[in-house]
Order: sequence, then C-alpha cells, then structure tokens
Amino acid sequence: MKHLLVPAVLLALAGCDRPPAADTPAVVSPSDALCRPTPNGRDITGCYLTLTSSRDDRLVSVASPAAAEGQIHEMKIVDGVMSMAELKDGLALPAGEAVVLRPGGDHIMLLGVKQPLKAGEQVSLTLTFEHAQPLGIRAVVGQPQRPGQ
Amino acid sequence: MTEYKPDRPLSGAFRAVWRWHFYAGLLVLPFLMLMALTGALYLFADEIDGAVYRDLSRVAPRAAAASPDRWAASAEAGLGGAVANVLVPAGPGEAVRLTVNRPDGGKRTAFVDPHDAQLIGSTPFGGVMETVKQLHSLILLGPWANYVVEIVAGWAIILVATGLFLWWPRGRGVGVVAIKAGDPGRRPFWRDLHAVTGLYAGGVIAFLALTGMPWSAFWGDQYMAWVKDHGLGRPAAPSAASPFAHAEHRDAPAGVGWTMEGMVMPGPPAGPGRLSTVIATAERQGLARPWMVSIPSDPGLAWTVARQVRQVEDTRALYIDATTGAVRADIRYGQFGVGAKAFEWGIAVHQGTQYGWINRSVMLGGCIGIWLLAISGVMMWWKRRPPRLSKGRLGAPEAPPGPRVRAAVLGIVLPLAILFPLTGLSLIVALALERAVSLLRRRFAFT
Repeated sequence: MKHLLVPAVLLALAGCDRPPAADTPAVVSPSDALCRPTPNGRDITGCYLTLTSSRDDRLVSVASPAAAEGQIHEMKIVDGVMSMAELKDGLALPAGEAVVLRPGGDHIMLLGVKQPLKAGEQVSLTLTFEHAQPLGIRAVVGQPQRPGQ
Repeated sequence: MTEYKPDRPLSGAFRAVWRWHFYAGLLVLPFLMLMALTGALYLFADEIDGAVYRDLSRVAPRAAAASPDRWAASAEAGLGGAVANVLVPAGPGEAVRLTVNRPDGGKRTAFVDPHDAQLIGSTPFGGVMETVKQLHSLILLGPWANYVVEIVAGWAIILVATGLFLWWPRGRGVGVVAIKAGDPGRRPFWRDLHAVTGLYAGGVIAFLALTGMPWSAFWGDQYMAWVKDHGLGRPAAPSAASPFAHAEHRDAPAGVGWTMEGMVMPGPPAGPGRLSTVIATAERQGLARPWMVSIPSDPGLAWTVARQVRQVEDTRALYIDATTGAVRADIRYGQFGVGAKAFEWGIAVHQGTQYGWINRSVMLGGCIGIWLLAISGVMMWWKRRPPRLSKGRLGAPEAPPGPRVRAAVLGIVLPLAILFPLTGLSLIVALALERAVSLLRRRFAFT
C-alpha cells in the first residue's frame, strides 16, 4: 500500500500543467484556416479551421478587421435534418482534441464583409478564448475542396 | 371455401380474357400498390413537407429583406459547395429553399430566412417528399426501374381494358353498378367489390397510367421527341436571343416543367452574374411567386426563373442575363404547341393540382381504388384457390381450348402492346415464359 502512495504524490507534483493551474496558460494551435471568397455582392462568408487546445478551453469569439461581425455557428444533425444555431457561449475545445470547423459542421461566419474577398488573398482573424491568450491568425481565401477540410 | 358457380358456362373468350387479367394483375400488383400509396402521399406533398419541416420552413414575417446574394452566401458558408437553385416562396412567412451542390457530390436543401439571410438548417436534397417521389418513380431501386414504371403503366391500362370486358354484365346476376352479394365470407362479394370499384376507378387508373407515361424513360422520351419534331412542342427562342440549347446535366434548370426541361440559353458572358440582379428582374416582370431561380455553373448561360404553378395556364419562365438583368426570353404556356400543352395538362391533372380539391379528390380516389382492387382481387383468388397450392398449382384461370378465343385477348392487348412498346416487349417475354413452362410441364409429365 505504501509504495502505491509514492507515485500518487509524484503524479500530483508532476500535474502542474493540469487544471486548475491557471498560471500555466493554455495553448491553442490553429491550422488550415480558410475563408470562402465573397464575389457578386455577397458580404457574408464562412471560415473554417482546425483548433487544438492543450487544455480544456472554449473559443469565445471571432473578429476580423475585414468584417463588421464574426459569429460561431453550430450544426446539429437529428435524423438527417441539420439545424444551425449561433453559439453565443462559444465552442468547447476539449484538451488535446482537434476540433474541426468545416462546411456542413461547426463554422465561423463573417458578416458585413467590407471588401470582396478574392481567392488567394488573406484575411486576418482574431480568436478569443476563455483561458488561452487571444490568437491572431491569417486565413487563406479559397474554396474548401472537400467538406472534411 | 366456396366454389365459384357461374350462372351459365363461361365462354372461351371470357376465360381467355380472365386468364390474362389474372396474370397481368399478378405481375403488376405490387408495383401498382406501391405507386398508389406513394402517389396518394405525393398529392399531399405540400402539407406533409410543411408538417415535417415546420421548424425549418417557417420564419417570422417582417418587412426587413436581406439581399438574395446573402441568402446564397449564407447557405454556401454553412454547407460548403455552391447553390444550384433557389426556391423563392409565396409568402413572407416561409423560408427560401436553396439546393446546394456540395464538393463531395452530394446535394442538400438549405432553408434560409429571407429577412436576415440566416441559415436555419438543411435536409438531404428535397427532404422526405423527394424519397416518396423516388419511390413513386421506382428510381430509388435503380435507373433500370424507371423502365419498369412504363411496363407497369402499360399493364395497368391492359388491366383496365380486360377488366371492363370482364365487368360487362352479359345478363349475369352479379353486381354491376353496386355490390349485390353482401357476404364478405363468400367470393361473390369480392367479385362484386372488384367489378364495381373497377367501374368507378378504372377510368382514373387508366388516366393516371397514361399521363404518368411522360415520366417514363422510353415512351416519354419518344413522345417528346415526336412532339418537338412536328413543331407541336416548345416555342422557338425570340429572334434577338440565341437559340435554346440542351444543357449539361448539372446546368439543367429546375422547376421549368417538361416542355422546357433541359433547355438553356447560351450567350456571351458580360461578367459575373448576381442572384439579386436576376431576382430584381423577375420582380420587375411581375412574375407571381413562388418561383425557382436556377443558377447555371457555366457562366455563359442565361439564368432561369420559372414560376411554380398549380395550373398549367400560369406557366411562365424567364431567361435572364444575370449580369445586366436583361430578359432574354419570356416563355409562357400560350406559346407552347398543342402536343406540349396536352403533355403539361396531363401532368398537372395527374398531380392533382389543375382543378383544385376536386382534382385532388378524384386522383386520391384512383389511388384508393387501386388498393381496393388489389385486395379484392387477391381475395377473389383466395376464395377459389385450388385445395392444394403446394402442388405447384397457382389457381390461374384455365387456358381456354382452341386458338380462336385468343382473338378476344389479342383484340384488347395487341393495340396497347403496340402503343406502349416496352409493355409489348414484356408481353412477348411473358408469352415465351408461359410456353417454356408448359413445355417443361409436358416433359415432366412424360418422364
């Protein structure tokens, strides 16, 4: 019994990077950020990316200098019927899990896009999290090739 | 079990027709019942769709209007892919429906609030009524099944014709315009039910079978080709515009009806098209809602706005330059040739929309009639089935002796078999099978 306690103590000490240790900040790594082009008078676009957080966190908001407003949208599928809702409380990012935002799934909407976005350009996005530091990223403008991307 | 005792001996001609009626019924019964059920459901397509997708299709009516360009952007951002067509609804309390072609090749129907361009949600393409429709046309079973529809429709007409022959009273003490035999435990009740239902529903069934033919793969195409070749079909494009051309499958406009199906109008692309430009033109032209805007993926084609009609006389389709908003062609029902008019009218009556609720009730009656006929037909056979079915005996009416009586059958069946070649082909197959079976029987009997 006694030697079982020793590793437990060691684990507790080693667990400095585990919650609720707020002093060690969460790190969210983004990848594959893409926004759809906005031709022909469309001032709305969708942005997609993959987010992986080192600890449980939450994507709270999205903003871009290119658009008046950013929203986080959720897609729920029940019996083949997909319903869309804005995530006012943000999107959960479980520790270590790659959360994929993609067409047909959860995604970011930019509303009131000021200038038409052309394929090949870049868009600045600012992602705000519950714990992690805000993240400034640049998304490529282009068509998502597959829904999984 | 009750023995069927006719008042007097059945003539050879009667027996021959009866035999054909029996086999034809056996062959197409399952298909006819499926088509009657799905057809009856489709008569109430709007009601069913509205009830199933209430949460998606209803929006709060208000004055604010978002640009149609934003409807499309919202649907594409949420679902990926590209919008192929947009159904602009009749009233402000309904969502806009957009068909979205997704990059993986799938299609979904997106519901967007026209007032704020919010994507409400989406369903598999066309939703539950699309499934009913695909069951009705049997396409759900595979593209080959579309040929089966045509064979079944031809056989349904043969059933009505032979049924009428069998119904003919000939001074027998049977039900003619009303059921005479009241005991459902005995066969005469089912015979009367079958004959009387057939009398009232037969005409509707033959009409449904005939007007359903345009959907079929072979006959429908042949008919349309003939109509077009004889200048009885679709109007020519205005002389100022470029002529109509056949579309690539992906660019075929939606909701334009049968006459204009697959027709596109190519022209020099002046620049990128805009949905809002096209919709503004349709509004300016006073096109009554609802209508369907088709967005071709080929930028060199005019966009199509087709009014979604219940009465064929209201048919109207605009071919609009999506860059300038200019109307390149304005096609109305009055411009159709006589063949195309008959074609479109038949379809509208088939679908129960042409003459309001009376039309719908009569078509529903036809569907119920098919089920009554099927059930009573099976009961008639059951009541006179041979005692030992297991001995490979089906209980089909006996083949009458002598070839002369075949004239009665051929007189009814042959003209229909020629008019509907696929049905005729299936007839030849059926005859060959019967020959083969009787040859086999004989061989087995001798060895």
